[in-house]
Amino acid sequence: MIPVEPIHEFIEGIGYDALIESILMLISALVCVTAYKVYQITKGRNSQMLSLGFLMLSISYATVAAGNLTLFLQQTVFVQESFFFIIHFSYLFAKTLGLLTLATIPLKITDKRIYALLAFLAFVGVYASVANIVLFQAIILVFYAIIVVAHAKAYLAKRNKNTLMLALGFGLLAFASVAYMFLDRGFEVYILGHILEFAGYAFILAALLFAYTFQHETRKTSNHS
Amino acid sequence: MKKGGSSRPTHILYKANLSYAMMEQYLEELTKKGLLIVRKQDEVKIISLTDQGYQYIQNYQKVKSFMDTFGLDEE
Repeated sequence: MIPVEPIHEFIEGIGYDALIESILMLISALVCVTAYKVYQITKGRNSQMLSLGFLMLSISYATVAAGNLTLFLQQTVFVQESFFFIIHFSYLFAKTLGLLTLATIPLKITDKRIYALLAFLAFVGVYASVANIVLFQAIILVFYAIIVVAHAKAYLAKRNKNTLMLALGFGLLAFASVAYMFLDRGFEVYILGHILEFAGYAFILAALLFAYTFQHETRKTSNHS
Repeated sequence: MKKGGSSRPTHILYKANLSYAMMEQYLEELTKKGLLIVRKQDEVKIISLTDQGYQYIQNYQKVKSFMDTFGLDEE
C-alpha cells in the first residue's frame, strides 16, 4: 500500500473547516436536545420532527468534521479512499434526511409513506448522479427554501423577532448551499460556504437562546421587582 | 400572577372568561396538583400560586416561546 501525505494546499483550511463543522454540530445538538425536551412535555409530532431533523444535521456535521480531520493523518490510498467514501455518503445521507425532516413541519406531511417516498427520491437523485455533490446541494436548497418561506410567513403574521432570526439563519444556509455548488471555482468558494454556514447557525443559536433562555430570565427579573 | 402573589376569584373569572362552575372545577384540579393554594382571609377567598405553580408557569412560557419561534403549532 502507498502511504499518502496530506495535501498541503488544502491543509491550512482543513483545521478551520473541521472546527467550524464541530461548532455547527454542537449548535444542532443543542436545538435537538431542546426540541426533545419540548417533545417530552407536549408529545407533539412537530417538536419530535424538529428534534430528529437537528439530530440528523448534528450527525452530518460530526461525520464531515471527522472526515476532514482524518486528512491530517498519514494513510494508505486504500484507507483514505475508504474513509472518503464512507464519510462522504454518510454526510449526504444524514444532511438530506435531516433537512427533509425539517421541511416536513411547514409542509404538514404526517403520512409516513409520503415522507419515505420523498426520502427515497432524494437519495436516488443524489446517489445515482455523477455530479452528486451539485445535485445534493440543489436538493437541500429546495428544502432550505421551504423552511425559509415558512419562517418568513410566520414572521410576517406574528412579527416574532426570533422567527425572523431563524428565517435569516436558514436563508444564509441556503446561500451556503449555492456557494458549494461552485466548489470547482476554487478554494475561496469553500471558505465562503463555511463562513455563510457559520453565520447561519449563529442566527439559529441566537433565536434559540432568545426564545428559551433570555426570555425566561427577563420575565424572572421583572417578577421579582 | 406573580411569584408569591395572590388573587381573588372574581379577578380570575374576568381574566379567564370562565363561568363560576368551570372556575371552581379548574381551581380544585390545580389545588390537588399542588399548583395553587386556596385560603380564606377576612371571609374572602384568596387564591395563591405555590412555588411549584410558579415553576410550572415559567416552564410553560419557555416551551411556548420555543414553539412560537420554531413554528411548532401542535394540533
